[in-house]
Amino acid sequence: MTERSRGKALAGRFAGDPVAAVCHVLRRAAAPLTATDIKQALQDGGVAKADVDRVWPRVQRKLAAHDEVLVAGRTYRWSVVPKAVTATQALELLGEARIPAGDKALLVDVVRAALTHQPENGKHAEDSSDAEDSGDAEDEARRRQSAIDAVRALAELASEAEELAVNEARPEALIHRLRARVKRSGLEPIDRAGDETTFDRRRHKPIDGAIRDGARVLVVRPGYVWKAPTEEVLIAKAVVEE
Amino acid sequence: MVGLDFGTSTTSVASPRGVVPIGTDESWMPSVVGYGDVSIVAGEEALELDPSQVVRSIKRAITDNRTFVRVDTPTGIRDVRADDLIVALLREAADRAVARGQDLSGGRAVQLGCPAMWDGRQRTRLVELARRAGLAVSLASLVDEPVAAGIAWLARREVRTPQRLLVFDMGGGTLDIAVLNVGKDVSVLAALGVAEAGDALDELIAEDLDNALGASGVDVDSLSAPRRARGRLRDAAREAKIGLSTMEEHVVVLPRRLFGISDLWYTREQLNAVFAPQLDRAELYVEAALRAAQLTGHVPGTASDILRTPFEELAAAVDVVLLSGGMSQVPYVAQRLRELFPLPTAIEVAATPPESAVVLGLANAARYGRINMYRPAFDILLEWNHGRESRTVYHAYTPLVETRQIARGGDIRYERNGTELSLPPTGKGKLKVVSHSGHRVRATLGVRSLDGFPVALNEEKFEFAIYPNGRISLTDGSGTHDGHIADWNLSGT
Repeated sequence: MTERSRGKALAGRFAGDPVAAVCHVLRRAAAPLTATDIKQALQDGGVAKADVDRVWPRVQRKLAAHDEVLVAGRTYRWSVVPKAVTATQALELLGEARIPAGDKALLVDVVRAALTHQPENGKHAEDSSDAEDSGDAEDEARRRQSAIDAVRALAELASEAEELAVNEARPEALIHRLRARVKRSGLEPIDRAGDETTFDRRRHKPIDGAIRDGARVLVVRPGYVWKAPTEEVLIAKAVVEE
Repeated sequence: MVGLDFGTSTTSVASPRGVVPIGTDESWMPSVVGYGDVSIVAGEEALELDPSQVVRSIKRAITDNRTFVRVDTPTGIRDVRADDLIVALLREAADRAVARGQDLSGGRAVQLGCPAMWDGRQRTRLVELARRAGLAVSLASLVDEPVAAGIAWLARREVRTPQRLLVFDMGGGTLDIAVLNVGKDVSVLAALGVAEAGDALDELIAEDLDNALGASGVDVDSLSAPRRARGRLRDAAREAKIGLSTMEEHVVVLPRRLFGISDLWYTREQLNAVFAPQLDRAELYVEAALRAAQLTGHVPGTASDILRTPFEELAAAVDVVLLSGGMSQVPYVAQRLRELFPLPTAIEVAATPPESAVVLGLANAARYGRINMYRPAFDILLEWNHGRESRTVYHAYTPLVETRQIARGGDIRYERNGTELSLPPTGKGKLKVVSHSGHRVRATLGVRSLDGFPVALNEEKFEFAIYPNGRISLTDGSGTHDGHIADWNLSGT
C-alpha cells in the first residue's frame, strides 16, 4: 500500500467513524501518543485539521470510555489488557506471545502488586481491597449471623420439644424427632438414655465418682459429637452410672 | 466486587469472602415489598403489613412482563407500578449491603443475577431499575443465575481442562437447567427454565399423609375440625420434607385430641414416590437441555441428528452435575440424577448451602469471562443512509435455538430476511455489532470483520442467519458470505 492510498484509507475511515480512525492510529503506534500526536497522524493521513478539531472533544470522551484504550496522564495507548485485570488473568496474559511491551509492564505491575500484598488465609489478591475496606463491618455482620443461627437452632429445638410434649408424643417418637433435629446441625448422639453399655472413658462420663473401663453402665443422658466439615468435636460425653 | 442475588423469594448479598448477612435475623432479606401507612417498605418490615398491602415474589413481574401489580395502598386498592416496588426492594438491599461494609460505587462493583431465560428487554428492565436504586450497573453486570451457580463451584477449585457442567437449580418457584462449559471462561451452551416448582411437593406430601391417615382408619373429613386438621397436615408435610433430608424416616406427631391417633411414620420411600412424577418431568427437561447444548458444539448438526443421538451419549459428555437451590437438599434429587448419569459423571452441590450458590458465584463472577452462546449478548444492526436508518438484525439475548425447532427437524438457526426487516430494495449499508457483555465480539464474514461489514441492500435477497455453533451466513445483493463468531472457540467444547 502506498503512502497516498494509506492516507486515503485513513481519511475514509475518519469520515465513517472518527473513533475507529483514532483507534487505528493508536493500534499502529509503537509508543503512547498525546492528543497532538494523534491529531498530527490524522492530518498526515489526509484528514483536514478543521475536521479533526471539530470532532476531537467527542472522540476524546469516547476514548476515555473505550475498553482497549489506556489513558495515562496526557497520553493514549492501545492495550489488549482488560481494564479490571486480576493477578491470575495478568499471569495468563503474560504467557501469551503477542503482548505489546507497554502491556507487559502493566501486567508485571499487577502481578507484583499481588505478590507483595498477599492477604491472609490464601484469599485472592484481587479481593484484598474489598477485604480491607469492608472487613470490620462485614466480619461483624457474619459473627452476628453465626450467633443468631446457633441460638435459632436452640429456639427451634425448644419449641419443637414443647409441641411434642403437649401433643403427648410417645417417647420413641419424641426421641426420634429431637435426634433428627440436631442431626441437621451435624450432631450425632453417643448412646441412648436408658440403654446399658460398657464404660469407655473417651465417650462416657460418670454421673458421680469414678468408674473403671469395661464396667457395665446405664446411660443416664446421651452425649453428642459434632461432625463439622473439617473435624469431629466431642461436644458432650454420655453421662452414665454403674 | 459484590454479588446481589435478587431472588423470587429472598434477596442476598455476597462478597468474594462469602455471604454478607443483610437480613434482620437471617442472612438474606425476604423479597417482599408493600405499602406501609406512609411509604413503600421492603424486606422484613413488609411482612408485618396486612397481606393485602404486600407483594411477594415481585421479581415475577419482570418474568411475566407485567407493568402493574394490585395492592392495598393508603389511598385504596389500586394497580401500582411493579418497577417502583422493585426499586424500593433493591435500594433497601443496597443500603443494607453498604451498612455492612460493601462498596457498591464505581463501575463493575456489583454483579446482578438474572434468570437465564430472560430476554434482552427483561434484562434491560432489571438494569434500569437497579440504576434507579443507585447501583452502578450495566447489562455487562448481569450474570445468568445458573452461570453464577457454576462459578460458585468453579471458584473453589482449579480446573485444568475444560469441563462440561449441567446445573440443576430447583427452587421454590422454578426449575432451571443450564449446560455450561467451564475453563478460563464460562460458556452457556443451553439454558431452560420451567415452572416446575418445589413448592408443589409440600402439597403432595400433605395429600399423602391424608391418605396414610385414611389407611390407619382416620378420615380427615369426618374429624371434628377438618380444616384445622388439614392445616396441621400441611405444616407436618413441610416438617417431613426437611426431616427426611437427613433421616430415612420421619415421625409425624399429631395432637391425639384432633386426630384420634398420636403419630404417623413417614418414610423417605413414601416421599420419593410422590416426588417421582415431578422428577420424571425434570429428567425430560435435562434431556432437552443436553440436546440443545449439542447444537452449540463445533459439528454442525440438523435437528434430526440431534434427535437421533442416544441420551446416554449426551449424558456421558457431562463431567459434573451441580445441584443448586433449596429443593436440591431433598436426597431423592441427587439420587435420581445419579441414576440418570453414568458413573464417571460427578453429582455435587454447587455451594454449601446450595441456596447460596448463585450469590456466591456472582461475587466471584468478575474472575471469569462469560459467553452466552445460547443467547448471545450482542445486537447486530444493519445501518444505511449514514446511520440515519437502521434495523436490528439480531436482538441480544434472543435464543438461537427454539425448542420447537428441534422437534420440527431440519436446519436449526436464528434467521431474519429482508422482507421481515422491511429493507429498501437497493442501496448500501453496513452491519454494526453492539456488545452488552463488556467484551469485544470477534466475528468475521469472509475475510472481513462482521462489525462494519458492507451490505448490498436488497429486500428480496437479504437473509441473515446465526447457527448455534457460531457460524454466520449473510446473503445480500452481492452474493452469499459465510463467517464465524470467533469467541465461540474459547469455550473449549
